[in-house]
Amino acid sequence: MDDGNPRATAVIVADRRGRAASLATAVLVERLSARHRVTVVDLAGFGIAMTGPERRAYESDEPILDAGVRSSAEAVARAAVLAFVTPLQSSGLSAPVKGWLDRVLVPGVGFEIGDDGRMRPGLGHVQRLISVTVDDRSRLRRLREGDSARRVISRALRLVCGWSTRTSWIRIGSGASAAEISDAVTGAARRW
Amino acid sequence: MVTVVYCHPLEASLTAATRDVALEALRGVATHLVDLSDPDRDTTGLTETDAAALSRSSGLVLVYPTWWSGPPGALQRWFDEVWTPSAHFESIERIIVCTTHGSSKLVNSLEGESGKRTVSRYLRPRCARRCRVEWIALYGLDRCGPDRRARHLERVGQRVTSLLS
Repeated sequence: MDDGNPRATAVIVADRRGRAASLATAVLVERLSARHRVTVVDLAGFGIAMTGPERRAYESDEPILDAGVRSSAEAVARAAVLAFVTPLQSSGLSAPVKGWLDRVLVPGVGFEIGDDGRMRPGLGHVQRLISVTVDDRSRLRRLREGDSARRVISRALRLVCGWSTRTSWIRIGSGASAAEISDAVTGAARRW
Repeated sequence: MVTVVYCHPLEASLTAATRDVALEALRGVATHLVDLSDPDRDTTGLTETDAAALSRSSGLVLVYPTWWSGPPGALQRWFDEVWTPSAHFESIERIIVCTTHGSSKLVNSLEGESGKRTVSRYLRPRCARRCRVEWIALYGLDRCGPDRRARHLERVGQRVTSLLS
């Protein structure tokens, strides 16, 4: 029911390669839709590498050149929730998700660079960062390998959000059943 | 043999200059250059070529800018494709990382330095048992002058030359 108040926006950046990532995205959309207007950024076909012209424009007043990147940046500018669905293959986030961070969260979107050259947070409006990872490694192996992906989201990205921004980290296996994926996301969603 | 991996979209960048200094320091040594600067690079067959080169290399030099605390997306894809969980390159005894950070060392520490962890805790255990990692980083690139950039390039040259000894 529309109570007259505009609902907050949630943006889901999804690398949906694989059945588990695809199912997790669907469950996430369903859970977040209860309270948010949800925008899904499907990374299929999204260029993972910043181009030369984009890098040249990076420090200008118009750092975004690509229409797809602009549409992502506009969605992020309104987001109260920023969620990622990412399979983890080697170490770190999946390449499409990392490429999205590199190309979309440029100055004026993810952060600001002041006249003194210092970086200032640009995602103060984001109240929650959610990550759903498809990861078959054991906890011990994740720790031994540095858990780089978690550091990028929970520390690097978290630093450009607000003081009260909360983070949720949900791990599912690539062979998880639909019920297991639903339970994992729903369990975490109780806190959102 | 030494494998050099370069990733930056601009030729007029400090990272490109770093690559040139590294290649110059390796002059006369068999070198395999992996150039990830072209976003439209057709990777068909290159994964196998790169893996074969790595399996013959005694040194690996990574030259890239650190963005969002880690390697750029194109380099991350190369890690995913070549450094699969089952891949091992036991001939590699030294890894030298030449990177730049826009923000300070303090900010990077707070961010967790995930790129450094990827190299030291994911790549290194897949190399020779006594493989050493050397991290040559220029922090605060957004605010540093030509002197610090020149010192960075000089240090890169010295350290990459040490691969030959």
